[in-house]
Amino acid sequence: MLKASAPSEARNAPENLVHRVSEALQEPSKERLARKIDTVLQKEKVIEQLANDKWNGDVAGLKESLKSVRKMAVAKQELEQKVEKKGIIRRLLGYVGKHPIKTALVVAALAVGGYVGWHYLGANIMSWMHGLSTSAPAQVLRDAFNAPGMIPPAPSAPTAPLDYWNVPLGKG
Amino acid sequence: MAASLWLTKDEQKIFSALSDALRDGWKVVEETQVYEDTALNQRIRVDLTELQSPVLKDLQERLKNAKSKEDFVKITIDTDISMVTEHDVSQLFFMLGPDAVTGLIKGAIENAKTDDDLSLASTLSELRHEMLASLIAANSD
Repeated sequence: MLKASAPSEARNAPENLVHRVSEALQEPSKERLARKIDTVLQKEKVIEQLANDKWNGDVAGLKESLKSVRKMAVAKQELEQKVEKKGIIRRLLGYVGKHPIKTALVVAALAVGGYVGWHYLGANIMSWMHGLSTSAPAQVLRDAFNAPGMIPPAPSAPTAPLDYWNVPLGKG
Repeated sequence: MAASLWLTKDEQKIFSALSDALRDGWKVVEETQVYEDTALNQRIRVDLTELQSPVLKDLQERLKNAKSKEDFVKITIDTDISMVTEHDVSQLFFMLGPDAVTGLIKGAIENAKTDDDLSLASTLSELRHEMLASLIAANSD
């Protein structure tokens, strides 16, 4: 029987499985990736068990998500091997300092760090890429930082917006 | 041997509009692979990305002290990423996905003025070709 109470149990909650598996797959060693894929397969077994236990969450959805994680991890591993063998990325290194390659890579890195809401940019990828080719780097970055989901900058006293609703009107 | 560009039909039209001199020496191969990306797949790619370059980690650290969006823009634009590692560039292109690479290819061809510009388009098109093949193969299992 599943219950959600303590944080450790919440981490083990089935709805967090996909995130945890993705997290586990982030280990840097390529050699360990295969083992991590096995971990995904084990999680699939856990989900099967959850289904058998008649957990009323989205078991089918979780299973599909885990399959997607596994497929993407396999595709990533295969691509890394191919591009290394063919020297594709090595050839691109000479262009990484040039806009729009630089801007695209930097925004991608910031999305990984959570500074840019990739769910928004990703959904509008083609118009964003068009902007990359037709706008100045500063404008592209401004647009990216204005996209929903960005981590707000730390407020500073002189520039923090005034909260007009709560302006004190004197001692009442 | 002519260098190759893997281009979709639409991209071939853009390439055809370039001058004869610029197109000379390039062999166009049709890119026929199609992969439909999804929001879930994009999210998974973000989760799978692992960055190691000190320059990118340093950028993230400095952004923590940004006081405004304009600060964010200035810090980011002033960052020199020429020292970013091959590993991280590979990770970031995979995270961006084939549609983003398509956008970069289109921009590179549209704005091509030299052979070097087309070399960039060629390398990006080769990257997309391999990326599509890997994604399609993994999804066909």
